Parts: sequence; C-alpha cells; structure tokens
Amino acid sequence: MEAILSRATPMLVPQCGQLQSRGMATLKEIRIRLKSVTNIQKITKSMKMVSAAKYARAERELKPARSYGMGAKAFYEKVEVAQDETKPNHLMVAMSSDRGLCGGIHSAVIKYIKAKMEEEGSSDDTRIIVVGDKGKAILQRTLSKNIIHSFSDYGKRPPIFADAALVANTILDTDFKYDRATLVFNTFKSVISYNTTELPLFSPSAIEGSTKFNLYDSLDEDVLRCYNEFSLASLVMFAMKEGACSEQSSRMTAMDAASKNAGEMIDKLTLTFNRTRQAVITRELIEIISGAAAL
Amino acid sequence: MTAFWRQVGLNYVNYSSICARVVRQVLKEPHKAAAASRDQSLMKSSSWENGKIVKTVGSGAAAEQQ
Repeated sequence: MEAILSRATPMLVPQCGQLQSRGMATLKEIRIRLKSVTNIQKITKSMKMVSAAKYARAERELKPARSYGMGAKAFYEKVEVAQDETKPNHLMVAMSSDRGLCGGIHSAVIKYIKAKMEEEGSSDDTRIIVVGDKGKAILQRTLSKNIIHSFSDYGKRPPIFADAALVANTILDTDFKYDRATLVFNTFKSVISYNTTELPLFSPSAIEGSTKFNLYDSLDEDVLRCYNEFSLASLVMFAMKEGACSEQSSRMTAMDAASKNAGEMIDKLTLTFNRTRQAVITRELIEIISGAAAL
Repeated sequence: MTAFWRQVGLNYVNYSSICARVVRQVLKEPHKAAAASRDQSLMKSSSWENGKIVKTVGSGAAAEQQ
C-alpha cells in the first residue's frame, strides 16, 4: 500500500506545473485523484483496525504458546546438545504466511535463509520446507530447486496445534536425510519490532550422543523418541504463534504508516485543488472584466 | 517394548492428535463447538521435486487419513 501511495505522488507533479494553462481539466483530475486517495485511506484505516483486533488476540494466545516453546528449548539447552555445523545436509523450515501488506515480515525470514545458505556455501545440500504462500512466492524465484515441501492456506485464522502437527509430521516423514534442521521465524518483541530467529531441531540420536544425557534417569529410547516428536510439534507451534503475532503487529504498523501517508497526500491535494479553483475563478473574472472593458 | 500405536506406524504426534480428538468429542455443548473449531487443520500441503509442485494434498484431515 505504501508503494502505491508513494508511486502516485510523482505522477501528480507535472500536472500541477501545467495547471495555469489548462485549469478546468486539472481541476477535474485533481478531484478524481483526491477521491481515490481518500478511498485508499479509508481502506488502510479499516485494515489497521482489523489487524489491531487480530493482534490483540494473537498476543493473548502467544503467552501460553511461549511456555511450550521455552520448555522444549530448555531441555535441549540443559542436555547441552549441539548441532554439527560441518555436516552438509541441512533442512530449513521457513515460517511465513499467506497474507501480505505487513511490512518486511516474510522477506525477513527468506533473507535470513538466503544469508545462511550463502554463509555455509552449501546451497545444493540445503532443503527448505516453507509454510505460507508469501514465503513460497519469494523462494520460488531463486531457490525453487531447494524446496521439498510447501504449505498454503495458512494465516487466515490464528494457528492451531493441528497446523503445527501437520508441519511436524512432514518434517519427521520427509525423505530427505538431513543431518541438522533449523526453524526460522520472526520472534515478537514489541508492537513495532520483531526479530528473525533460528531455532535448532534435533534428532533422538543427536540427543543420545550428548554428554549430559546420562544425567537423566530411566530414559529409554522409546520415551526419548516420543518426547522429541512432541517437542518438535511444540516448537513449530511456538514459532507459528510468534510469527502470527509479529505479522499482525507489523501489519498494524504498516497500515498506520500508509494511512498517515495518505493523510499527508490528501492535505497536499486539497491545497492544490483550492489553489487551482481560485486560479480558474480569477481567470474567468479577468476574462469578463477585460471583455467588459473592450466594449 | 514398543507401544502398540508405534507398531502400526503412527508417531507420537499422530497418536496424541487422535487422543485429543477423542477428548474434544466427549466435551459438553458450549465447549464442544469451540473445541471443534480447533480440531482440524485447513492447510494445504504440497510436495516439490526439481522446483515444481508434484503433489498437493487438500486439508490436514485428508493428509492424516492417508
């Protein structure tokens, strides 16, 4: 929306320069433009209201989801399992959504993945699972060969655990034999800011290989496997909720900025409109007076 | 010994979602409708090969049944 508004401004400038020569036509043009900008502002304002309500809900739902994510993360930290950065086969899971008009939320995630791939220099061995159409659309252009799975119809309503379970199952069942996996998503910080974060995902064998694992009592292979599957789904859920909350807050900010820009444009246009109208009146008066004087 | 549901090819995520569904179904009315809306995922899942979508599976429910 911001792009549309900023693009509209330079088009207006030459018209203003010519308004003395063809006053009537520009007056009509300005009126049309003024009307369309006012309509755009109405739309952005209502979108802001909608996303403000959705954001309030997303933030309320984020708090309980956070404890699941933190719990799963804490286990990995306590057991001191680390990813082997030297192994080539890397699976990345990108959390985006279907909806746009929310600032740089989706491109932040994709940029993070691209930077990571470049840093590792192993673009052939990296595979990507992408959640949401926007992220898919960006990745499709340059990294379509690396995508192994994508999810759409996500982001219209708040994420539920069934969504997370579907993604987790796909990660578990994928044919790609990955050595390490990373979840990339936006962490909600405040209404105006979010951080793009990565979260490592571990396989049961990696956890068993860690040094501190022996400290846990009576943990057999089966329990660990179940726990790992569940914590994977919890982490995906956590990432989804964080992403949804940052998306709504970012959309709110973006729409607020767009409404503000539209407001500025309306002010300028109204000024130009009044000036042009005045010029037309003056010119008509001059024509009448000089006509009367010539009689 | 491995659990019976593991032997039939389910993982813990499948198993727990089936359990959750059963719990949702035994709820009483005002809560049942609210819980039912959280029952199924509407996401579409597509698998890719060589930069092209090769297969798309409708919603989560259809994917689970397969």
